[in-house]
Amino acid sequence: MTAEPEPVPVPLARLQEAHSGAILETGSFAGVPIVRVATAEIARVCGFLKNDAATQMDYLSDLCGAHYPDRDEPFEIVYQMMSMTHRHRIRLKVRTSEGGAVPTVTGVWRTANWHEREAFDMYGVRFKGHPDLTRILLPDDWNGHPLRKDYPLEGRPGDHKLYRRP
Amino acid sequence: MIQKVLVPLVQIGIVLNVMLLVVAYLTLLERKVIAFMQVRLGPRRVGPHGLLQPIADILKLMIKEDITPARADRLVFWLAPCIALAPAVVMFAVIPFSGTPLEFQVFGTTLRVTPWITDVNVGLLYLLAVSSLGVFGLVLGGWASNSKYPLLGGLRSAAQMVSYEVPLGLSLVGVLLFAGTASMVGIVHAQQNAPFWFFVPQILGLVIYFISAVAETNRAPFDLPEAETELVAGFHTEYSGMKFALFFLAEYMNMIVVSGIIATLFFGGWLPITFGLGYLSPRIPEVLANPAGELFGLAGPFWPFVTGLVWFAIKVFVVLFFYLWLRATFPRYRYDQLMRIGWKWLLPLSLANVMVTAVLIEMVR
Amino acid sequence: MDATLLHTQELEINLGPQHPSTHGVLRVVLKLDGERIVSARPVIGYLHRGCEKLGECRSYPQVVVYTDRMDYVAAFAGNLTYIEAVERLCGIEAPPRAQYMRVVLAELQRIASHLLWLGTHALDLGAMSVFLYCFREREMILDLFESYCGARLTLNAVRVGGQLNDFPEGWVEECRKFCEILPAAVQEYETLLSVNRIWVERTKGVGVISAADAIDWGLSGPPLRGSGVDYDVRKAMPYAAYAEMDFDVPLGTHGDTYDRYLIRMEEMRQSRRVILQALDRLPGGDVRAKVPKRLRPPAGGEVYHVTEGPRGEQGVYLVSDGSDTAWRCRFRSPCFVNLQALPELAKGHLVADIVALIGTIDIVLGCVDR
Repeated sequence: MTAEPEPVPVPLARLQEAHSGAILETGSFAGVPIVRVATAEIARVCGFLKNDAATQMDYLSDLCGAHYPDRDEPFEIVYQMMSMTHRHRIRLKVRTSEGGAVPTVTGVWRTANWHEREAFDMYGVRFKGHPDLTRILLPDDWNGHPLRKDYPLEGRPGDHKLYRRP
Repeated sequence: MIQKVLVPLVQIGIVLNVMLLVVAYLTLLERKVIAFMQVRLGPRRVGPHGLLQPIADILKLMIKEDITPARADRLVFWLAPCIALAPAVVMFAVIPFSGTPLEFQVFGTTLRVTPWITDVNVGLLYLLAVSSLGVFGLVLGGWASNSKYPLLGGLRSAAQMVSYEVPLGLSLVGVLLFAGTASMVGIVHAQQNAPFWFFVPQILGLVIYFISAVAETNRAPFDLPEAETELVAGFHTEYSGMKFALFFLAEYMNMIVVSGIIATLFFGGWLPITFGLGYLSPRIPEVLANPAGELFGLAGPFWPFVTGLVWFAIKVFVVLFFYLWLRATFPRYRYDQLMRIGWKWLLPLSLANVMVTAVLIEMVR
Repeated sequence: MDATLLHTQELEINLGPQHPSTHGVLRVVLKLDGERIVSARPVIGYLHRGCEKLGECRSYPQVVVYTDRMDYVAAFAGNLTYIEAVERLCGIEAPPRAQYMRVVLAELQRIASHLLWLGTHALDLGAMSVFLYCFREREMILDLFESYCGARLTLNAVRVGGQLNDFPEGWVEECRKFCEILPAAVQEYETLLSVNRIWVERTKGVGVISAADAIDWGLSGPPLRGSGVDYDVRKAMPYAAYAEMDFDVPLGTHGDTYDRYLIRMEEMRQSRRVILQALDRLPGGDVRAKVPKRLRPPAGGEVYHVTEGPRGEQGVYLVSDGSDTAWRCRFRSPCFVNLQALPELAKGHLVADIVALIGTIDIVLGCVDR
């Protein structure tokens, strides 16, 4: 992530004012501020961004996972949010390790429900406090989490009784 | 003995077979008419212009595997299509297809063959009573399938058909008042001297009867019990092969019967369409009723019989065309909206129709 | 009415995954109390093909063919989103002619997608003939696509840096001819449906969602605009040549199915307006910028690019590690997010409304499941 000279976008500025302790890293690419937040604080930070008058990030555009096996905390959850009134965007990231849990943001935006289920389904990241953390795209009795980097593209025999080698 | 037993049996045989053929070709007509309304051609491959399509369909349904769901009630499952079909067929007994009875000289006796199987003096009541029995077939079919979709379809159709029975019957009371008789043949005779038959004085009755009939026969826009896009196929989801064919036949048979009733009660049955020219000269209706006899001098009851049949058929097909037109055009009513129309609109309107008709008849008298 | 006194039982019924009106393999588990829906739970994943995993295992230009097949009804929108994301990642700008061509094709695709939506929505609610009429017009658009890129449905009509081919000779005239017949066609559908009492009764007041709820549920596209929220990515964050186009964004007031229907009808007219403007102002020049044979975006770059597809906000999130394959390729699908609101929309409605609701959200299962 490259550092951005100026000016500081409104959401980032407000975040630095109110929750500077939660911010671990900042950066931007192609004009969008990217902030890495401490995992335990994410729900609080999101709630702040949604309710604060200057930011009003009431629209969660996307919530997805990513896997960087070389890091200590290989799993990353990326939040893309936007404000309907101010039309500014920001990208938040948190990192977690295998077996770690990320607080759910379903209480902040109801749309996060299925996104978090998909992140759990594909990466195995658990979300603390999620109302219904079950697999969504894969059958409920699937073994493994396909979007992880150590999962082969063709799947593994034994992951599901209906698996057939391509 | 021959007159009382054999002749009716032959009549029944002829009517039954002809009607089954008509029903089969009605399915083809429907597909063709709806196709043309939808910018396409309909069946074309089986026979010229698809004319052998119904035969192919019948053969297919006869040889199709007959599946009965595992825990279905076998007897009722088998019985339900029969119960659905029987009233539809039986209603043909009182519908007059033409006006002139035929006379045959056989073994010294004169046999009189009427173009109606029988003319009971409570024909209208008989029709209403028998048509109500059709509900049982649908309900039992839905229940006996032991499956959720047919159950929902059966329940819906039961409520729908029972609700629309009331305006169905009431809308015909106006016709009864006009004609003074419940016999079907008598009603047609009563229309002979009425200008525009009965459909003009009883236009409201006609509209209400037609709408209720569309609901009774489960046709669009009231085809919720068999809504393909909502409940897969409603009460006949689990039926296949010949049993499905019977349900199918029952529906189309009902359509034809209803069209026949409308033609008889409102449009003068076998009477010729004079296009209002009867006032010019009394010869015109006579010629139209029997062109072969009047114009070419052919004698005998056969020609007026055939002409009456042709006029009746034309009227029936016009009504059937409206049925098909409705199906191609309108979306489907939701269940509660359907009920609302039946109870809140058709019922009060048909009652009003009865009252107004009765008052007017008294005033004119 | 005291349910416990009458000992009524809730009926749990399964809509799909094989069903005539679930627009694909969608399963909705309905709990019914008579005809009233107590709860509607969508179960998805029957069409999951691992597009995101494929996006990480194939090079950038190779992934474009998968974007066709996710939302297969509006393939061009998927293509465009992905290609523009890659272009932003690499810092490539397509030449002006290519930008205008993309606008024309994207709006044609929007009309085609809305025609299919209208046909199937009407068919679900019983108006069979509208389906055939819509497809008659859609065939013209598919013919246009076929003469442009050789495919009718899965177009693969964009390349990184521009377009592969210019419009063939006579294509622009054919496109104009289509734009001439479109208003009459849309008027025909409106005559059949908008004032039809049955249609109005089936769609007015069905599936009402407030603006605040719509934003909270992350809806986008006509479901969001039906509730009055003025958010259209083409206006909010213009891409391709939309900044130079003059068009209106229709908004609804009640947030019900009827409003969403009217919005999509109006969108078809506005799309036609945009096409005509773009065709009039089509600049000359190259259709493709110079792009290296092997695309290697800078390591550590990441973009999240959104466009306005016919179904809503389509997004692609790409993370690059310096190689010719993306490290993370995420497809934000509007149908996936919109479908989540189905239980909310279905609250208190009757069984017959579920098909209307599935139709009004306008989902394509390929897009939902990826």
